[in-house]
Amino acid sequence: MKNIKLKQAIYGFIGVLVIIFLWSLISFFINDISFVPSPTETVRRFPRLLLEPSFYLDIWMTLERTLLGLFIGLSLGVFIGVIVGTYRRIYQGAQFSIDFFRSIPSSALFPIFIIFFGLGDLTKILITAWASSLVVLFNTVYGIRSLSQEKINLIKTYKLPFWRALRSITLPNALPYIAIGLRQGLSFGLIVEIVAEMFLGSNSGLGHRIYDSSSILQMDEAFASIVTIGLIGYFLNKLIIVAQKKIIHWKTI
Amino acid sequence: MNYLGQDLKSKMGIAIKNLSKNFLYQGQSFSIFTNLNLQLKRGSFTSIFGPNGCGKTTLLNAIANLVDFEGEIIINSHQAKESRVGYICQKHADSLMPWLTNIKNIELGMDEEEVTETKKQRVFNFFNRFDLDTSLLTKYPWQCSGGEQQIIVLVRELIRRPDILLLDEPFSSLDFGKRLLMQKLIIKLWQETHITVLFVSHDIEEAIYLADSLLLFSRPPTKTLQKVEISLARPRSIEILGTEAFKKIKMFVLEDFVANANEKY
Repeated sequence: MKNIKLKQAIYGFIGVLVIIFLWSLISFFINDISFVPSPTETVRRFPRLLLEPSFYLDIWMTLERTLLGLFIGLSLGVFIGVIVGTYRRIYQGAQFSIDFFRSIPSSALFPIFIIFFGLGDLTKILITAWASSLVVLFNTVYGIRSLSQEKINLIKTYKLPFWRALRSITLPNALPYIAIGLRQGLSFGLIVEIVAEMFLGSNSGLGHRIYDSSSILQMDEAFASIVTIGLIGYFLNKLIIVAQKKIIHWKTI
Repeated sequence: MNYLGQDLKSKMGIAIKNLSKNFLYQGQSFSIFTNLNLQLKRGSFTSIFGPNGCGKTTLLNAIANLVDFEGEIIINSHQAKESRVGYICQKHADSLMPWLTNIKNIELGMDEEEVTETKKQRVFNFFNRFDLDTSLLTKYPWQCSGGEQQIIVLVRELIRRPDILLLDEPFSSLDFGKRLLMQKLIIKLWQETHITVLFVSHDIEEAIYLADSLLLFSRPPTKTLQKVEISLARPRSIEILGTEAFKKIKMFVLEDFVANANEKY
């Protein structure tokens, strides 16, 4: 068991080295720091960034808006998902709409959100919420409807009231699916949040930093910010997995 | 009054009157029951034996009010809809919630208003009374063997004090040894709780061995071909399978079964 984990770690490390090597190769041939900085140049940028208070503020703003949006998206997605998944008629009626809205890239809806909510934080939070809620919704519906016939029969023969069945049977049964939706929602939400920060005239956030630094050809700073976003996404995902293992203890991931 | 607080003086039971049920299959409607009538005595143990597709499971689903049907099912002078039906299906392991401990699974069937402590006490009392292993209760279903899961499912149904217990091939997933143990347990539980049991089995020996009477079903539209009273003395043990009386009942049922089956390869 320990051996397998060690092997995985070694292979994972080799994988990272390969990518860094390829990146070095590309930057070596291009040989222009204001176009593609090398990994070393990018890493060398970090100490200076870490001394800037505005860098932490950017991380914080991106995190805050992403997590707020994700929280709203999760709540809405689960709430609507339970309703749609429970009632067959509503499911049939909503199926097309859900698939339709899922097919629209959230960034295409920026203008609509701007008209309603302006150019401030609210729009960024809500558009992140929108992007993540759809995947959570879809997975919740799937989770609710995956209830086995045996469990449905149990609810019927015991004549369990809706809330008791939801609390003890239907919702726990959907939890593994909701967790998948949450993780997908996180990555969608982060994408949309960064895009919004870059192009909605934001004055804070890592997306804003990438946009600003690249427009004055400070590509090492842009790359350092991109790496930071990658790390944030990676650790948030890991965090959800750890929580998932704790809460959904009956299922191995 | 028995251990579960049920009134046994009234000699009611199950009455199925003019049960009709149609199925749509590939655009054609075909009848699985046409005016089926059945009577089961209260506290009796009845086995149903019949060919595949004769509607055994459909009958149980109708009694449990899981499917629509025409006709009337009366349980202890109430409509089936209003009575408590215990149902253990073939894939009973799927009816256990893996996110709940076994005791929480059992408590699913108990009234929510009941205080948690008294619920717990009742479960423990039940386990102790039937010499069941109480260490099972704090485990999760997936930490238990198939036989142990069966025990949890059985206790969950019986502790609800059902008016009738429906068993749809409950032992089909167990190995032979576990099967014998569970048969013994179910008889013990039945004798002490006096619950009316309707038992569906594909195994003719099991169907006879456990029951007071056996219903032989025909191919659809299903009729009762035979109702055989099984007057073998209790307690029964496995040796009974070798006795002349047992073989006689078995052959009697099988002859009719084969005559009706008309199977072709």
